[in-house]
Amino acid sequence: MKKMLFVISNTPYANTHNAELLEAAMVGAVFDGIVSILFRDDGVYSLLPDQHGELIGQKTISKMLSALPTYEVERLFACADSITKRALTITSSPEVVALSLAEQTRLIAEQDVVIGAQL
Amino acid sequence: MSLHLVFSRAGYKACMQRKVADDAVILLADGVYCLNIAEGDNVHILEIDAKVRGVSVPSHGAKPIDYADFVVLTEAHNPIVSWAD
Repeated sequence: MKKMLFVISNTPYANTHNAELLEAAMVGAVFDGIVSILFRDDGVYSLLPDQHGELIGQKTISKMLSALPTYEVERLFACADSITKRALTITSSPEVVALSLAEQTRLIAEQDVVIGAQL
Repeated sequence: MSLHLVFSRAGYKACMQRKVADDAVILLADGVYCLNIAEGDNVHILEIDAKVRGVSVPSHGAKPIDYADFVVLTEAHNPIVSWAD
Protein backbone atom coordinates (compact mmCIF):
# COMPACT_ATOMS: atom_id res chain seq x y z
CA MET A 1 0.00 0.00 0.00
CA LYS A 2 1.42 3.34 -1.04
CA LYS A 3 1.79 6.16 1.44
CA MET A 4 0.59 9.37 -0.17
CA LEU A 5 0.80 12.91 1.16
CA PHE A 6 -1.25 15.73 -0.33
CA VAL A 7 0.09 19.21 0.45
CA ILE A 8 -2.32 22.14 0.39
CA SER A 9 -0.61 25.54 0.46
CA ASN A 10 -3.00 28.06 -1.13
CA THR A 11 -6.12 29.90 0.03
CA PRO A 12 -9.30 27.86 -0.65
CA TYR A 13 -11.59 30.06 -2.78
CA ALA A 14 -9.37 32.06 -5.17
CA ASN A 15 -9.43 28.99 -7.45
CA THR A 16 -10.53 25.34 -7.27
CA HIS A 17 -7.09 23.78 -6.61
CA ASN A 18 -7.79 22.91 -2.98
CA ALA A 19 -11.11 21.24 -3.81
CA GLU A 20 -9.39 19.25 -6.58
CA LEU A 21 -6.56 18.13 -4.28
CA LEU A 22 -9.06 17.00 -1.65
CA GLU A 23 -10.95 15.01 -4.31
CA ALA A 24 -7.68 13.42 -5.42
CA ALA A 25 -6.95 12.51 -1.79
CA MET A 26 -10.33 10.76 -1.48
CA VAL A 27 -9.66 8.82 -4.70
CA GLY A 28 -6.24 7.83 -3.35
CA ALA A 29 -7.88 6.43 -0.23
CA VAL A 30 -10.54 4.56 -2.25
CA PHE A 31 -7.69 2.79 -4.07
CA ASP A 32 -6.20 1.63 -0.74
CA GLY A 33 -3.56 4.34 -0.41
CA ILE A 34 -2.53 5.41 3.08
CA VAL A 35 -3.44 9.05 2.64
CA SER A 36 -2.25 12.05 4.67
CA ILE A 37 -3.01 15.70 4.04
CA LEU A 38 -0.77 18.56 5.16
CA PHE A 39 -2.05 22.14 5.22
CA ARG A 40 0.75 24.71 5.17
CA ASP A 41 1.14 28.47 4.59
CA ASP A 42 -2.08 30.01 3.15
CA GLY A 43 -3.50 26.47 2.90
CA VAL A 44 -4.35 26.63 6.63
CA TYR A 45 -7.18 29.05 5.78
CA SER A 46 -8.97 25.90 4.52
CA LEU A 47 -9.30 24.87 8.17
CA LEU A 48 -11.59 27.71 9.30
CA PRO A 49 -14.97 26.36 10.45
CA ASP A 50 -18.34 27.40 8.98
CA GLN A 51 -17.45 28.27 5.37
CA HIS A 52 -20.13 28.86 2.72
CA GLY A 53 -18.74 28.18 -0.77
CA GLU A 54 -22.28 27.80 -2.16
CA LEU A 55 -22.67 31.60 -1.95
CA ILE A 56 -20.23 31.91 -4.88
CA GLY A 57 -21.10 28.61 -6.59
CA GLN A 58 -18.09 26.68 -5.25
CA LYS A 59 -17.72 23.57 -3.13
CA THR A 60 -17.46 24.31 0.59
CA ILE A 61 -14.02 23.19 1.70
CA SER A 62 -14.97 22.83 5.39
CA LYS A 63 -17.75 20.40 4.37
CA MET A 64 -15.36 18.40 2.18
CA LEU A 65 -12.98 18.14 5.15
CA SER A 66 -15.70 16.75 7.39
CA ALA A 67 -16.41 14.09 4.74
CA LEU A 68 -12.78 12.89 4.67
CA PRO A 69 -13.04 10.38 7.58
CA THR A 70 -15.86 8.64 5.63
CA TYR A 71 -13.25 7.97 2.92
CA GLU A 72 -10.80 6.73 5.57
CA VAL A 73 -8.68 9.86 5.22
CA GLU A 74 -8.03 10.48 8.89
CA ARG A 75 -4.43 11.66 8.92
CA LEU A 76 -4.87 15.45 8.70
CA PHE A 77 -1.97 17.71 9.61
CA ALA A 78 -1.33 21.44 9.67
CA CYS A 79 1.81 23.52 9.99
CA ALA A 80 1.69 24.95 13.54
CA ASP A 81 3.81 27.92 12.48
CA SER A 82 1.45 28.85 9.62
CA ILE A 83 -1.57 28.80 11.97
CA THR A 84 0.16 30.92 14.61
CA LYS A 85 1.39 33.49 12.09
CA ARG A 86 -2.16 34.03 10.83
CA ALA A 87 -3.69 34.02 14.35
CA LEU A 88 -6.30 31.43 13.32
CA THR A 89 -8.65 29.26 15.34
CA ILE A 90 -8.98 26.14 13.23
CA THR A 91 -11.74 23.53 13.08
CA SER A 92 -11.83 20.74 15.67
CA SER A 93 -13.92 18.42 13.49
CA PRO A 94 -12.39 16.54 11.78
CA GLU A 95 -9.35 16.52 14.04
CA VAL A 96 -6.26 18.21 12.57
CA VAL A 97 -2.88 17.65 14.22
CA ALA A 98 -0.54 20.65 14.31
CA LEU A 99 3.07 19.79 13.40
CA SER A 100 6.39 21.57 13.87
CA LEU A 101 8.67 21.97 10.84
CA ALA A 102 10.81 19.04 12.05
CA GLU A 103 7.71 16.85 12.31
CA GLN A 104 6.70 17.89 8.79
CA THR A 105 10.17 16.88 7.58
CA ARG A 106 9.62 13.40 9.05
CA LEU A 107 6.08 13.19 7.62
CA ILE A 108 7.33 14.00 4.12
CA ALA A 109 10.35 11.67 4.34
CA GLU A 110 8.19 8.63 5.19
CA GLN A 111 5.94 8.96 2.09
CA ASP A 112 6.06 7.03 -1.20
CA VAL A 113 4.38 9.89 -3.08
CA VAL A 114 3.98 13.60 -2.27
CA ILE A 115 1.44 15.55 -4.32
CA GLY A 116 1.03 19.30 -4.11
CA ALA A 117 0.16 22.32 -6.18
CA GLN A 118 1.84 25.68 -5.90
CA LEU A 119 0.91 28.70 -8.00
CA MET B 1 -10.40 60.52 -1.91
CA SER B 2 -9.13 57.12 -3.09
CA LEU B 3 -10.85 53.77 -2.64
CA HIS B 4 -8.49 50.83 -2.23
CA LEU B 5 -9.70 47.34 -3.15
CA VAL B 6 -7.63 44.77 -1.25
CA PHE B 7 -7.77 41.27 -2.78
CA SER B 8 -5.05 39.46 -0.77
CA ARG B 9 -2.78 39.62 2.29
CA ALA B 10 0.19 40.68 0.17
CA GLY B 11 -2.07 43.33 -1.40
CA TYR B 12 -3.05 44.59 2.05
CA LYS B 13 0.56 45.13 3.08
CA ALA B 14 1.41 46.84 -0.22
CA CYS B 15 -1.65 49.09 0.10
CA MET B 16 -1.01 50.10 3.73
CA GLN B 17 2.50 51.28 2.85
CA ARG B 18 1.20 53.57 0.09
CA LYS B 19 -2.27 54.94 0.87
CA VAL B 20 -3.29 58.27 2.45
CA ALA B 21 -4.29 57.74 6.10
CA ASP B 22 -8.07 58.27 5.84
CA ASP B 23 -8.56 56.72 2.36
CA ALA B 24 -11.38 54.18 2.12
CA VAL B 25 -10.45 50.47 1.98
CA ILE B 26 -12.55 47.44 1.01
CA LEU B 27 -11.33 43.96 1.97
CA LEU B 28 -12.70 41.45 -0.57
CA ALA B 29 -11.90 37.97 -1.95
CA ASP B 30 -8.80 36.64 -0.07
CA GLY B 31 -8.35 40.17 1.29
CA VAL B 32 -10.96 39.32 3.96
CA TYR B 33 -8.26 37.26 5.71
CA CYS B 34 -6.69 40.62 6.69
CA LEU B 35 -9.63 41.44 8.94
CA ASN B 36 -7.72 40.62 12.13
CA ILE B 37 -4.82 42.90 11.20
CA ALA B 38 -6.82 45.70 9.52
CA GLU B 39 -6.62 49.11 11.20
CA GLY B 40 -8.33 52.45 10.59
CA ASP B 41 -11.83 53.97 10.63
CA ASN B 42 -12.55 53.76 6.93
CA VAL B 43 -12.15 50.01 6.39
CA HIS B 44 -14.99 47.96 4.87
CA ILE B 45 -15.30 44.23 4.32
CA LEU B 46 -17.43 42.52 1.66
CA GLU B 47 -19.61 40.39 3.91
CA ILE B 48 -20.39 37.63 1.38
CA ASP B 49 -16.67 36.98 0.76
CA ALA B 50 -16.05 36.77 4.52
CA LYS B 51 -18.95 34.35 4.94
CA VAL B 52 -17.71 32.11 2.10
CA ARG B 53 -14.33 31.78 3.81
CA GLY B 54 -15.58 31.27 7.38
CA VAL B 55 -14.21 34.66 8.49
CA SER B 56 -16.48 36.07 11.20
CA VAL B 57 -16.93 39.85 11.21
CA PRO B 58 -17.11 41.35 14.73
CA SER B 59 -19.45 44.31 15.37
CA HIS B 60 -16.53 46.69 15.94
CA GLY B 61 -13.74 47.41 13.48
CA ALA B 62 -14.21 46.93 9.73
CA LYS B 63 -17.71 47.70 8.49
CA PRO B 64 -19.51 44.81 6.71
CA ILE B 65 -20.93 45.83 3.31
CA ASP B 66 -22.94 44.18 0.49
CA TYR B 67 -22.64 44.71 -3.28
CA ALA B 68 -25.06 47.69 -3.20
CA ASP B 69 -22.83 49.45 -0.64
CA PHE B 70 -19.84 48.54 -2.83
CA VAL B 71 -21.42 50.42 -5.76
CA VAL B 72 -22.12 53.48 -3.58
CA LEU B 73 -18.50 53.54 -2.36
CA THR B 74 -17.24 53.13 -5.93
CA GLU B 75 -19.30 56.13 -7.07
CA ALA B 76 -18.19 58.27 -4.14
CA HIS B 77 -14.43 57.81 -4.60
CA ASN B 78 -11.76 58.46 -7.17
CA PRO B 79 -9.37 56.92 -8.08
CA ILE B 80 -10.18 53.25 -7.40
CA VAL B 81 -7.02 51.26 -6.76
CA SER B 82 -6.80 47.44 -6.84
CA TRP B 83 -4.21 45.61 -4.75
CA ALA B 84 -4.01 41.93 -5.68
CA ASP B 85 -0.39 40.96 -4.87
